[in-house]
Amino acid sequence: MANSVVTNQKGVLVDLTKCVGCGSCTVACKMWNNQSFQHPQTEEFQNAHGVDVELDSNTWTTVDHKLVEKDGKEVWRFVKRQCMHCLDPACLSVCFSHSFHQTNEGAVQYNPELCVGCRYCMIACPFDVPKYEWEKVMPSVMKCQFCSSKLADGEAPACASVCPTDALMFGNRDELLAKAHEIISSDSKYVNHVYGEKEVGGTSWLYISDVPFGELGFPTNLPEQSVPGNIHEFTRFTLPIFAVGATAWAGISMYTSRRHKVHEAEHGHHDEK
Amino acid sequence: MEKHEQTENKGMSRRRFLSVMAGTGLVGAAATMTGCSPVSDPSGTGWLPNQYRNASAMPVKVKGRVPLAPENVSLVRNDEKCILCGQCLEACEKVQSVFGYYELPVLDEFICVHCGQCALWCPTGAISERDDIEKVWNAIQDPDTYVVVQTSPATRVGIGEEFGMGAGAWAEGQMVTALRKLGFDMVVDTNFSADLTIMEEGSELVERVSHGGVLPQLTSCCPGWVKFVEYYYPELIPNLSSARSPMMMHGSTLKTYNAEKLGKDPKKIVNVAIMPCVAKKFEISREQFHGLQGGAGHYYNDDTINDMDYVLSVRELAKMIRKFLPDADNFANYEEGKYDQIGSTAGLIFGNTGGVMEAAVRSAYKLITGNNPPAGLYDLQPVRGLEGIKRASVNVPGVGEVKVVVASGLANARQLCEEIKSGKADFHFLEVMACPGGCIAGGGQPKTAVPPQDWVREARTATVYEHDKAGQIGDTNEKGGQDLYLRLSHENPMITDIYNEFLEKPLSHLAHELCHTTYVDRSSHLVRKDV
Amino acid sequence: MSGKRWSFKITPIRIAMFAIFAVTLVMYLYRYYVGLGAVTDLNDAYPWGAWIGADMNVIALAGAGFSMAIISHIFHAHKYEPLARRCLLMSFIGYVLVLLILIIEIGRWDNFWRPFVSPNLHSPMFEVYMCIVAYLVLQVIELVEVVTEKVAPKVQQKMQSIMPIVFIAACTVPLGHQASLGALYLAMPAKLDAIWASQMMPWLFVFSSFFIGPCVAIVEYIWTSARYKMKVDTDMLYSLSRISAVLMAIYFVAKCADIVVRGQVGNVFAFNMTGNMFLLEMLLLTVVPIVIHLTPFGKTKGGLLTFGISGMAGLVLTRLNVVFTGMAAHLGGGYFPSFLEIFTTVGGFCFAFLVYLYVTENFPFFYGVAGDAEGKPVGESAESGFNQAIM
Repeated sequence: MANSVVTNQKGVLVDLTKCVGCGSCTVACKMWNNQSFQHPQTEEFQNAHGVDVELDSNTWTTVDHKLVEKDGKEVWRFVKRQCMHCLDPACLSVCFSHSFHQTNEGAVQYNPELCVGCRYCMIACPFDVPKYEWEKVMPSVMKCQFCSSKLADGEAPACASVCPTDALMFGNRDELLAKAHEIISSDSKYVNHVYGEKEVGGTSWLYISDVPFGELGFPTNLPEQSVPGNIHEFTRFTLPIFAVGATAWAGISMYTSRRHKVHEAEHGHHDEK
Repeated sequence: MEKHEQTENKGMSRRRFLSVMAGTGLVGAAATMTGCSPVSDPSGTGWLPNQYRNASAMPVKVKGRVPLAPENVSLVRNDEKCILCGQCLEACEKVQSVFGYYELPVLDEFICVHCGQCALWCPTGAISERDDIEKVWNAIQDPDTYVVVQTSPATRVGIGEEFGMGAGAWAEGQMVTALRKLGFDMVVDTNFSADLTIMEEGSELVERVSHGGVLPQLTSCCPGWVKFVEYYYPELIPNLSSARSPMMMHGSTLKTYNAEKLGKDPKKIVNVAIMPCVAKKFEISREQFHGLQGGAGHYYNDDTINDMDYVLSVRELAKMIRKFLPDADNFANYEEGKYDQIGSTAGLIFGNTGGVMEAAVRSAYKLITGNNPPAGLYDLQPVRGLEGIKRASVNVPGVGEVKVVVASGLANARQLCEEIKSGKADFHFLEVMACPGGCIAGGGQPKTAVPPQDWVREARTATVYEHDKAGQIGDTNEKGGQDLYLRLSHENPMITDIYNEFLEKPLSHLAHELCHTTYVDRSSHLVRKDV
Repeated sequence: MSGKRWSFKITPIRIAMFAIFAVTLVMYLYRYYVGLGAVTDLNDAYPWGAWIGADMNVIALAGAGFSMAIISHIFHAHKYEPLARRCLLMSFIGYVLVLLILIIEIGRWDNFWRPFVSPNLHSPMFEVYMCIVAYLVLQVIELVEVVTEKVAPKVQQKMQSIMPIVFIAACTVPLGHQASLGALYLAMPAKLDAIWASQMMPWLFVFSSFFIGPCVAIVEYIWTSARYKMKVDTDMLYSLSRISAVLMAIYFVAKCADIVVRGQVGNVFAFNMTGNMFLLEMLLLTVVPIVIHLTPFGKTKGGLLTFGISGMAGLVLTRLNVVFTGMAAHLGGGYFPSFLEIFTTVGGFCFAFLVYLYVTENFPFFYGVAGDAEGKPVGESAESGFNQAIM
């Protein structure tokens, strides 16, 4: 499925080796999106960074503090999580009321006006990103919007703009991808993998790391085919099913009906056994 | 559909439903059906400081904030108040040379020397000291405990600012009164233990100079500086004076010497310190001061005794006074209370950058020559003032030129460390205070100007020197009702007492147990960046 | 419509069911007032719970409507026509039940119409949605035709011209519907346990819901016969069960092939939760019914009943395994349906059951062969028979 609407695909390259866990990005996100620091369901105050902090409808990005083993020593690694902004997004393709759309810059944006609340996007997202406003009477799905209005103005998204160590690098995705490969090929400490380059068809957000991604909580069993591509292997049969089905039934029906009549004509009245 | 109608009919009376229905009513439906599909972007309804509203490729210099571990013992941050102004990072990197001086990726620690400059710079108060008021108040309320409070030299020129007394106002007496009103059982003065530090550290210096020890000797009063050395310059740990900071000497001697004099059970004594500093909260958490490794715990062979129990910053004390004393707004007019201990004004000037050096020189002169220092050493101008690095040399008969250097602000200290490392250092004694201007502008002092400004530092410094110059530490004394003038640590009668009655002499075995400590090499927690 | 002949016998169990349904309605209002989070255990890790599980099962079993229609109308196996009618009724009630559950399950019930004006043709959910709507419309037409046969013959005659198209459509739409339910889970290839995560899932879903039709029909027939003390035509049921058994065997082979091709044999026989649940599913859905069918027991009333119930249980398990067992490893154990979720689901089933009883008792031609029921309104004996059957 070609994304004709995306003419200026942006991206962010996250160099996990540069993150110091300051959480600036999480604060920038809350500030720009005017969100409180209360957990929407428990109503407890919580920072959006720390050990085991999770995304919620009020927290579109988190920095997960992970104590992992590296060369026999325990080290902190800080993993920023947010919507990956897939090039071919699962949420967009599974939403039956088209509540998701892509902007010119490749931001996968959610439009609450159209949402029916089936929550299929939540369960379909390979990264478990969309979260629900369970506490609300009229809830919406919530997730990172890639600061679509900032992107449209030529600005970096809030999180990437505040990073003091340049762990978050914003730019054109193809350039960032080339840069990522350049970095990992010139420095042996990196794992030879750009996460998001190929996962589920590629994502706007790209990660490089010196610790295997699986240890940092990234799903590592994702296929290279996008979710919509996977579904499309079925949906392309939708119209054929109906056409072939209807034709087949009509044909069979006429055939069996005629056979009955012939049968009846030959053997007198009914004998259906 | 039948259900729908019921729901709406019963629910209509509620305002909640009205608003829902209004928002999603026929108008919206019609608008959508006619193609005017409402697209609403749930993001971007807030704001960000202007520096971040930049073209993506344009590098912004002031951005982000310091990394702060959630379990940091000194500092906490309320993300709700953080506006990402970037000031904390400026302080941490430019003033203290902590952030940005280690290679990424990080290892197993959030690198922090607990100096608290970030808290001083923070315009919204998002970063603040870890609040220990509750714990101290509970200890005071506990009838079983004997709560002793000590106040650092610099507190008395800071606390008044919290009560409208003007920058650098002298509020020693008022503070002592307030502490007594709060219910502390004993109010002692860290100026006393500063005198003790001079005796120990000065003796150590004389020892090193006369017996060819490791030089230059580095002061160890400032826990931020000590941790900085442990992180970045572990090779200089032998240079650090083994003398504890005054607060920690006070802690161990209060639970031993004073406990015995008072006939108190050391386990029932709770040591509280009012400090212009938040690194002190970290210092008391060092395991070298806990249980058997600590002074008092080792003395009694009791694992449950720690040398110090709680540290409150000056800001916390002010908060506590406001919270628990109904007449707090009358603080400026409190009667002038007296300490249960006395300290010299040599101890008092510990609060200023250069103060430890000046006090040490005064007593070292006596230690070496047997005579009190000449008049010039009571006003050692080269080590005074807010300049980041100050060099001086003192001619001591019998020893010759003693070269001393004073630095405040860790970025300045870093230059001197590099100097020592490269072998270019020709000085004998280096005093470092992590905070620019010394303790009088410490991370726990009132935020009278944000970010901290020199006019406040100058006012506080001036008050300290003024009182040193007067030399008057009390208008009465037990020995005859006369004014007491005391500008030399070694002349403090209580110092004489403690050595006569308990410690015997500086650097004695017991003094080593109670007044000295060891350091740990923390360099494995980071990869130093070459500068 | 004259109400004279229409009656509804009140029994304690029916009162209880009615009470449960009434409470369910109150719970509906409460849920609409406080929102999903307050009354369900659904959460960000578990956005789909008991309600979706119930819907998946009801739809799967409601496949009996189209499968029996295909057998009797398309293949013109007229002897099964009465069974097809009952299945049509049950299927219709099932779909209404699904709607009833969905309308509290979705978060923005006020936006239910959005997909009509803002459709996403690529979404399997859109196909599910459109098929539910289309099939409900078709079922209403079919039911009107059945009902008017006795009540308003003139209307029925006029409808005859469109009925062939309706029949064909009603046999086609559910194909897409059942398949798209399976396709829903094609979106989670990395989340769903590999035992189930197959590209074949949509087709296996259609197929299983098709061959379960006879099972449902057999169970319903035997139960209704007991209710009205009618003779059970085991020969007819046996020949019907043969259709199912043959298709089950094909399904079994297809499923095994799917497992082998995707290299999942090891996982199936890992003797862990997922492996065992899969084995149980296959056992109940295919092995047990096929074995019963091949033995003389399969020709008895008890054998046929066991055949049908085992198949239905197996089918329920296939759907639950996909919704819960297969997703559990990814989603974690953070969900157990709340009291309200369980109660409203039970309440929905009570509603469905009451409607079924009401309709069958007032439109007797839904059961029994035409000759049996014709002109024979529900009598005392019939009702007491029913009472014996269910109480």
